[in-house]
Amino acid sequence: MKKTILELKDIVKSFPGVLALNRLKFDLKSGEVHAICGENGAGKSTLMKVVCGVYKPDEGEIYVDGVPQSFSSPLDAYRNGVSIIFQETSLFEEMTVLDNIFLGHEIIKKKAGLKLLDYAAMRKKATEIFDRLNTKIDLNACIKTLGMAQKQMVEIAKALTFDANIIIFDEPTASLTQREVDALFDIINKLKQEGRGIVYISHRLEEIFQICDRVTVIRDGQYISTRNVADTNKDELVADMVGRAMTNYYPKAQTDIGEEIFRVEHYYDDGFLKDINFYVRKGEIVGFAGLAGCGRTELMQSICGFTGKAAGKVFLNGEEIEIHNYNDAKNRGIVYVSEDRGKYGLIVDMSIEQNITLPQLQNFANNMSIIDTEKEAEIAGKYLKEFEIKAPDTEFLVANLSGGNQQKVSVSKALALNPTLLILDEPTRGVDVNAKAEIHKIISELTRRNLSIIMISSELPELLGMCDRIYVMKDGSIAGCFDRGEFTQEKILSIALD
Amino acid sequence: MVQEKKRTASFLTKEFYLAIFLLAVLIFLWIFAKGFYTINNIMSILNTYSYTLIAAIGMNMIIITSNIDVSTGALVSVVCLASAAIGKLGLPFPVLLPAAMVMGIILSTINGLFITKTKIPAIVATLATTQIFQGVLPLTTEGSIYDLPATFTWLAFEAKLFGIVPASVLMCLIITVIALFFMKYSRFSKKLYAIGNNQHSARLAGINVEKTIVITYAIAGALFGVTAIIIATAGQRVTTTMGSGLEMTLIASVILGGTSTAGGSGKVIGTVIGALILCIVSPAINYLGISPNWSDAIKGAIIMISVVVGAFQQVKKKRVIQIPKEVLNNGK
Repeated sequence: MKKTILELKDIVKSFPGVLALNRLKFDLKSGEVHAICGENGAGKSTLMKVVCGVYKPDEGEIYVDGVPQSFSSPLDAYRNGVSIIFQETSLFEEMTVLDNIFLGHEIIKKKAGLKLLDYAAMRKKATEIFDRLNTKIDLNACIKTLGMAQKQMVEIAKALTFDANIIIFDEPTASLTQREVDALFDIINKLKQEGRGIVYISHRLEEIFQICDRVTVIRDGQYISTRNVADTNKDELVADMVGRAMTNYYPKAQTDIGEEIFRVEHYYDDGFLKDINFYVRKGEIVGFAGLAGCGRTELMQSICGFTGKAAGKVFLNGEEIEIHNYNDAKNRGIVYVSEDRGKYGLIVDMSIEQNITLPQLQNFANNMSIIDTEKEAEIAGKYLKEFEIKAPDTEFLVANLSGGNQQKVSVSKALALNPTLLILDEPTRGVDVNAKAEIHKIISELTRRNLSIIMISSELPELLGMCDRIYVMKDGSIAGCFDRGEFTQEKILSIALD
Repeated sequence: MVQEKKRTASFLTKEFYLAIFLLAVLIFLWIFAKGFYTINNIMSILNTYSYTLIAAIGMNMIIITSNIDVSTGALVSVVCLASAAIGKLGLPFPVLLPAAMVMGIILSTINGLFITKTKIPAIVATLATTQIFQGVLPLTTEGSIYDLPATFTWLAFEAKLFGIVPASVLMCLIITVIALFFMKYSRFSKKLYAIGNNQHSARLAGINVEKTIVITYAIAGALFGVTAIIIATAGQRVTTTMGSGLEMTLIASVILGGTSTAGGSGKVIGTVIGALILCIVSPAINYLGISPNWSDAIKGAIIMISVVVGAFQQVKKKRVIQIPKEVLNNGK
């Protein structure tokens, strides 16, 4: 009889404005691999961070081996046999493999009354563990010289030095090659046979069917189902993951879609994007769906000249164009609106009008290069009124606006450049429901003016509601394309997850 | 097997190349600088080197945690003057040394607390304390303290090993050996590197980041105190500007020694070599018959070259995907 070694009861965790986890439950038995899956932002990673002490839960209990526990830090969790291997590794880049494995719990020897680090003992223990994992890593190597897979091995080795009984893998295969994934699965199987319990967080369904025993689906921070992997199939899991009803209203305008204006052929970048082909027509909203890290943002930034291409062709109005930097893109009417307003989109300590005119100051300056503030106020005022930006005047600081209004300023700034192709990266991230609806209305209105729009979004309902066509990306390439009327959440997810 | 192969190549570090450079400079001077290798000159260089290295070891620890201290020069000036004030009472060196160290600890701990409590960047915080330390000096003393007794200048004039080597060299040697040992075999040193690498991860690993940084400043302060007492006791007069500009030499030694200003990396041995190179420049120029006005520019050039070379080594390998030939050909 396998015993339960980890049990979570009614875990609640909220962040300002968001209920991230809502009465979640979960249990893990010894000698099993238990998957947690769900869409982007379903709360998978948050849940595990609660378990290992990165976050404190607002409510609920965590039982390890039947004993209620509350860890103050991951180190504390480690010491109690719970270890987590983070999505972004938490290793120290400039330090050696050995230092990293034993940081915070170094082996000490006493000599002449001094507490000294016992390198010989640490080296011996680390070598033993790597031997058990069938891996060879130079213990003196700096972490920064290792590849992603090796870094993960170091994390696993670190977990094993604590003799962790519960090991949590958070998206471990996100940046591994197929061969490395196979090696990782061998190790997971080995750990399982040693009777350890493994939590496997992933949104790649095929992997779940490959190595997991049970799978728990969570959605929007809520527990949905737990099934035996042997008794279920992919469709069932996708249905559980999608589940939600289409509650939002999407005010999509009926537009006549014109001829093709933008086309990308056989596009590659320096190392991630592979053979990308797509096109956009006049007045069309083209969506890009995919999981976090699938390369959507990288693709758009590369096309706009932020990072540059390695090979491929880009056509605008049937003519091949070369874009070397963002100015080239901007001057040809291709404008990108960043997903991160605060960091890349706006300068929050400047006023609305200053933000809107910033990309084209030359058009607002007289021949003495002095900025004509009246002209600035005029154009800003136009957008203020048109988009109903809630600010007393155009000199209002962007920092004092709400997220939704900031996004409207971001879009205004892009529109002031008179684009022919507008690329919106997560246009409604971090804005409330009402502002979302307003932004959707604006986007819809723009297509009526013959503007073409590329929209990246992690919220499928938004894409389904707004787009005329949706490309699905996966691992740096385009995995599928659906027309309106043809696409459903299930179809898109099953390609994105495959 | 694989591990053995790698280990043979592991001595080809930044520190190794720096040592080669130092050796080359020393040979160059042996051939071209007449009189550089006289006993007097060597002992004078060794004395400067000793007090520079002692403080640089402290600065190295601070920079490893991704912090910095630009107030060191002013701090040393304060400790010099205070030591002179009590030295005037005729107290012997065994009392002056710990007194200077305690003063160094107190002032440097103020820096550490200021940085960790207010979360002000270290460069800003220590810039402020620089002004405060410097500002206090003219209030307490008019220009200098002079006519100091023989008990005060004992270290510089009487304490010689074998009648020739300054005792400061012995102090430096002891401190360097302890530092080498400490940075290799203490748990505390691992915390320094972890904090410098990634404060957030260090916190997740259960390290008390603030406490560690304050202790680091305190340790560095003790070393600054030692440096101050060596500088102060070199003559019968102590002025208010004894340590002026010292901080730049220290930071330069540490950076030249391969410690990244971003923190998280760097070895004591690098600082040992870096400080020696910088301490040689001025006398070397003198003996080569070049105008001493060149000395700062040459120091600057050495630092710049070493930083640029270091930056080239940092360039990371990119992941590269094979692009099919036909696509590449079409693209051209």
